Amino acid sequence: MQKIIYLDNGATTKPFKNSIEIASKYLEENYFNASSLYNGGVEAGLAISDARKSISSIFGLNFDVIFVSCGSEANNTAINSYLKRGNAVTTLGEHSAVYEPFNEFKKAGYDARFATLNADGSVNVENLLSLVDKNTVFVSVMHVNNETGAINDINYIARRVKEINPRIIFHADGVQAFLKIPYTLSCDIDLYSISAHKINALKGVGALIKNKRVKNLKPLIFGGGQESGLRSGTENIFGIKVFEASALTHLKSLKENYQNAIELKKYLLNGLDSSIFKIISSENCSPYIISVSAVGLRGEVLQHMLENYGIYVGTGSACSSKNRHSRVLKAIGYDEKVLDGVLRISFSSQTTLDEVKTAVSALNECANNLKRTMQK
Amino acid sequence: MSKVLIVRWCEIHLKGKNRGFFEKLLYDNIKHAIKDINCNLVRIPGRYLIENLSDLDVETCILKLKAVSGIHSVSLATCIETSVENVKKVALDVCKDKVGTFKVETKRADKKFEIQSTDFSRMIGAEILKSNKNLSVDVHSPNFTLYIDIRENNKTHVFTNTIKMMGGMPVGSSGKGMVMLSGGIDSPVASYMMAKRGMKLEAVHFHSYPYTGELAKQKVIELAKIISNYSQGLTLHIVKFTEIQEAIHEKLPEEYMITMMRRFMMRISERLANKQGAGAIITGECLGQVASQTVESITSSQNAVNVLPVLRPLIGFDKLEIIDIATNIGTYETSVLPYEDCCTVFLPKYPVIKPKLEKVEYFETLLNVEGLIENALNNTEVIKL
Repeated sequence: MQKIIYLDNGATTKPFKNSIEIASKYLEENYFNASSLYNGGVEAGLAISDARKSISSIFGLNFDVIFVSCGSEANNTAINSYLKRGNAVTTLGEHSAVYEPFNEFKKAGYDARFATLNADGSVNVENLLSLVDKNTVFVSVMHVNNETGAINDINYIARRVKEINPRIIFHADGVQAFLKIPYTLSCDIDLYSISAHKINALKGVGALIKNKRVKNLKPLIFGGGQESGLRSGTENIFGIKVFEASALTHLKSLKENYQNAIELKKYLLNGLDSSIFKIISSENCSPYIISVSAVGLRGEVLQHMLENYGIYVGTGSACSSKNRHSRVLKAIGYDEKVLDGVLRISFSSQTTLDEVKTAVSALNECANNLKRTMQK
Repeated sequence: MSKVLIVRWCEIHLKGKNRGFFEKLLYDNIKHAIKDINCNLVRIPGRYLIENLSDLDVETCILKLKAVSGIHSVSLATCIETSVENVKKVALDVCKDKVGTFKVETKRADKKFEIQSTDFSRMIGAEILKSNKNLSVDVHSPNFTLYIDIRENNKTHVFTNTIKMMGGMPVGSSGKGMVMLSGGIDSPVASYMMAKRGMKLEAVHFHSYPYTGELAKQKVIELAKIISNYSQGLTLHIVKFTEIQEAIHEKLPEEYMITMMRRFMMRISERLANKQGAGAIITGECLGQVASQTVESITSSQNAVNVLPVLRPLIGFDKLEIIDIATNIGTYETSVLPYEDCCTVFLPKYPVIKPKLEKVEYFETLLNVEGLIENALNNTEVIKL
């Protein structure tokens, strides 16, 4: 079988090898409902509570962890809790799991506001602040942009927002930042969304990190009152335990991995044929996500060509769908030629320099071949 | 007393000495369609009966029969031993909760039954009126009709409802066709139309990986699966078309891209048809819909075919009419999924609307037509559905 070079880690990551072992303990031995009162159930409950402690320790004493099913659910829980009165502000760069719920509220007549972006996809902070006022109840700014890797300084933005109106609830979608870039959350951050499968754990688990001070968070799902009543439904214990283990593994080598990703990014950006590829991500972006455009070519075709080499990358567009271009990159203001050719290359802590070397030469070769074919 | 499904055929009764062939074919097709349902299919003069059908399976059975061409209509009937008393009992039972207007229609296949049809209808009608005060008779436009069908074998069928089915001729009665299946709305409808006229189908799809992706291919496979329900199975040939498109793009004027592609597609389809024993090529072309469907463009693509007829069942349809059929046969939703097919790769801004045959033929001398076709045919994936 052809060896796969997986460079679409922004979409999902390969679970760590020990995931199977950890999960199987909770599939074969302790498969009990964590709410049950017999020993097995109590143990399951304790195991979840350990996982909660492990993950909350990453964020410090001010924060609680509410386990949910995915990053999208975490975002939706936050947004649905507060978009009831006043107005709310977010950015045009958000992931659909924030952008679309905002859009739905806007369609229903709510005053939802969207801040513009800088060239690398980070939010234009001054524009955002100009949208915030005394009536604003909720602000959501993503930490790392999932398409360009742009980093928003959420601690700074949250502080500035709260200077305007201290009662605002500040939420950040941290799915692409969590355990990838080094940071600490300041006290101004109220809610923060994370997802397990972006850090080599399993699909089906995420968490909403909640500042202890925050009140009035409303559940999306009512029922048995799990997760302090904020997310009912029997806990996905094996998913949560694998999440915990992956998080602790990442935490140990966070800085080292980050340095490694910087090296990989450097190699990639130097190696790409500059006569074809335009680099969209800036130097300040997360080293894990690099957005480039093979200007004038089609990203999806390149993606399929690379697939033949066993190299998997993401695209910022689909050749065919009616809204074929990335909403976010369009909002930045790129023209059609750039938008058509967008590729997203995203690393994980497992990505090696050799893989990136192979990918860079394949990218150059495929793009040049395609360019020759399209021109005549 | 039992429930039966009466299955009536379409044009078979117009047939002469070969009628037996059509009846047998339709019988086999029905049998195949309902093979997973526990029941008996029997042939009686002029129709089929599906007997011993559980109440739970009635709807599924009707749904399956809807995809069998050659069936005109079906009715769910109560089957009883023929006697005046039995008919009366069932008729009163069927009508007991009805309101509005009705009429009774009797057919006597069994002329030994002593009461004449009109007299019998009147008699049963009178009984119904007596027992249900909410009903009155209207022989011109009643709310419902109670049908009494007195058969030769001392059985009578009583029913009120007739469901219209696909119509047409049984698949297998009109030879085999090779349909050019894109991922669009039209070609699945064209396939359906020919299956309806009794044609067995194979399909050819042109795939342009890496210019189109796996999803585009899966979409066509999905469409082929839906069509296979109507065509009693289907073999799909997925031809790798990339090299041909690249060659045309490289060597020939941009505006002739689609014209030239269509000619290659026709040639490949004809060769596949010959190989598979198909006697016609079927396309979803519709006059004037796009640049490649003008009379001049059709002339140019037709000209690439040697012998076989190219059937274009949608040639005179409006787009909305085609969409209606696509919706009814269940292909529309899949057709409008956004994955594009090979036609949209290297799409010229201004495709030629009235291609000149001399030019087209000259352009082909610049390409290794034979070699390209051979290569494409050698890179064909076959999927049996």
